[in-house]
Amino acid sequence: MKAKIIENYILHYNRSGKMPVSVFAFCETMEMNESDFYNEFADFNSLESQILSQIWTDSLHKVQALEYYAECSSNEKLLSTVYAFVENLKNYRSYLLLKYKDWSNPLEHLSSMKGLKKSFFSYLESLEFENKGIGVQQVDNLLEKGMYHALFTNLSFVFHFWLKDTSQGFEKTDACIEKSFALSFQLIANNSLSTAFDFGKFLFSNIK
Amino acid sequence: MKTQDKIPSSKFERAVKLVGTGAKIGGNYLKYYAKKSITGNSDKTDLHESNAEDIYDSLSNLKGSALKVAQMLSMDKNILPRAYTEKFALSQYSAPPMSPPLVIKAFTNAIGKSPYDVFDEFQAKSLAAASIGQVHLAKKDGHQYAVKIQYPGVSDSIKSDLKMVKPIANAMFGLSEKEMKKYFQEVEDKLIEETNYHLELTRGAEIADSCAHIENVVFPKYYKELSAEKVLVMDYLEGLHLKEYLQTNPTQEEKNKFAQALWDFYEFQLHTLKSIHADPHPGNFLFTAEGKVGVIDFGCIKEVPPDFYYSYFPLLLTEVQENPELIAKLMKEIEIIFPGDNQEIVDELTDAFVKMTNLLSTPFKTDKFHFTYEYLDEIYAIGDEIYQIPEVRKPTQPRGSKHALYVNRTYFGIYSIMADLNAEIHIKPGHWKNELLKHHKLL
Repeated sequence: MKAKIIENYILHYNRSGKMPVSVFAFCETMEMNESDFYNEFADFNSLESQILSQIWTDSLHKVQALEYYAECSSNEKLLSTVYAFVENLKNYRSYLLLKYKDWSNPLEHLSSMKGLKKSFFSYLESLEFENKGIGVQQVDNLLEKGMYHALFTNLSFVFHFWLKDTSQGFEKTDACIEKSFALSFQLIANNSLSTAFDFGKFLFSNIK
Repeated sequence: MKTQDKIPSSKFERAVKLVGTGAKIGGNYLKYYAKKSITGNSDKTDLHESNAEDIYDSLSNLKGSALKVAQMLSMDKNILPRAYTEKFALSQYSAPPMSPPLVIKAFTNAIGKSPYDVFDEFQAKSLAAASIGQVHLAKKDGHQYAVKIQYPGVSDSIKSDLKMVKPIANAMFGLSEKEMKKYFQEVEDKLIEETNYHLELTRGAEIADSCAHIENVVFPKYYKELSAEKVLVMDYLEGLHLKEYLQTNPTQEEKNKFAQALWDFYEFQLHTLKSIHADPHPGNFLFTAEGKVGVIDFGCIKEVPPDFYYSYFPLLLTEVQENPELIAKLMKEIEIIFPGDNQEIVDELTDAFVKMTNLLSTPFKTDKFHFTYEYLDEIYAIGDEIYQIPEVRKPTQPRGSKHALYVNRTYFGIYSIMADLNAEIHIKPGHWKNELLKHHKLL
């Protein structure tokens, strides 16, 4: 049911360029009860926040089914999933362009990317990256969180790059993934990430 | 293979790197002149070595066309002192590999199926770096394949990479942007061609077909149905690269056999097909256990236009070298001398060029020629001497046909492999000698 609702929502959005006027109107076109909608989503915003995370989860299932995936290192696993994710995004490009093309105010997209962030974080936890902390549990937890945030920023950057990419088969996005994650991985390996994240947070909250 | 720990990520970062190199080279020259003014010692080896090191350090961190240019420069021993060449030769074997996930993604995008679905076995770690892609080993039904996969986005980055290499090239050769233009255009065109694996497949198959009769040379079979614009599947040829081969201490007789095969292959391409495999760096040849030379990588093919062919190659023949009038005519045709040049420049350049071609054509004047390092050193020495001519060092206009670029590069590559093999082989100008002489009405 959930998938079907999302599918119809995207269809509607692609055709009209905006949210349906009400859940009622939307359900009417789908010939279903309004209550069925609320069983899955609180409102359209919560539905939207699950679109990217649904794509992410689908991509993850796809790569996990591949034989070579099990033999990969954590870094390679993450990369594989990101490549699959971007590949999958293609199926929803029209909707994503309508929804996210205007990136001038990234904050605006925070809520609709929340679902993706949640799935992404729980995936990172499952990868069990080598812990290069300082040995104090609380601090290390913070560092790990910092790393997750930084990798998510990297993913958002890639997503944004892809939205603007006009190269054949989006091959520039592939190059972008390769290069940007190589940099992130290196920063993680050097433990420079926490410093960078701290600085980023400072900039974010102090520069308007 | 070592995975490089840092990939320059933006054009800006690359540019900064290369500008840094230019500054360092400048610094090396300063050091050289300072040392010279104090000690009076003008040995340039130190200088060349430090320059080579700085250039190599920055180029080797770049993928794609910058690496290609490094290869190109490393081949052109005519202009480059040996210190450069040796450093650059290293870059022919090591480029930063693509991550396994990207390899699989790139393959899947191109072919529509994962390499694991197409083959029984596929190695996601690369065997070797090709300048614009990398090579992976795959197996199916017991047969071994080499799968060449292109770096994504490489064709787009060629132009911008070349733009950034330009200042370095200018610094190295003392040429201006304007003078380099026609040569850079030629390099750019060739590099773009190299990104088209369809073209490589067709050409590779054609050359393999027309050269099938040449003894002791083997070519991989290409698989069209498994290939695409950015993926090329061919037979995996087992064999040793030149350096590894030499370490096995082969007999001179065996080395001569390899050398002869290679020479015959090039002779046939140039004078019969008029189209040559123009990437003769050692990584593209394999010495097989059966005593054959395996030729791989047909990405860079130089078609030699007839006009250029009939003006350039006669200069290798004694009959022409003894004919000043014809030489004067040919020098104009190959764009070394221009109508407006004053007599002094004409004489100086003609002398220098004739001297060089005389030396380069020595092998053609005997039945059997022995390629040694001493012979190569003589070529370098004349190259150095020619470089002292002001009109060569700071030309007032671009001299030399653009077609000569890849042709020269190819022959210097061959000569240097011959010298590495210490080869003694039969070199007799074949049918082409008479054809050229007839063309110029000398026969």
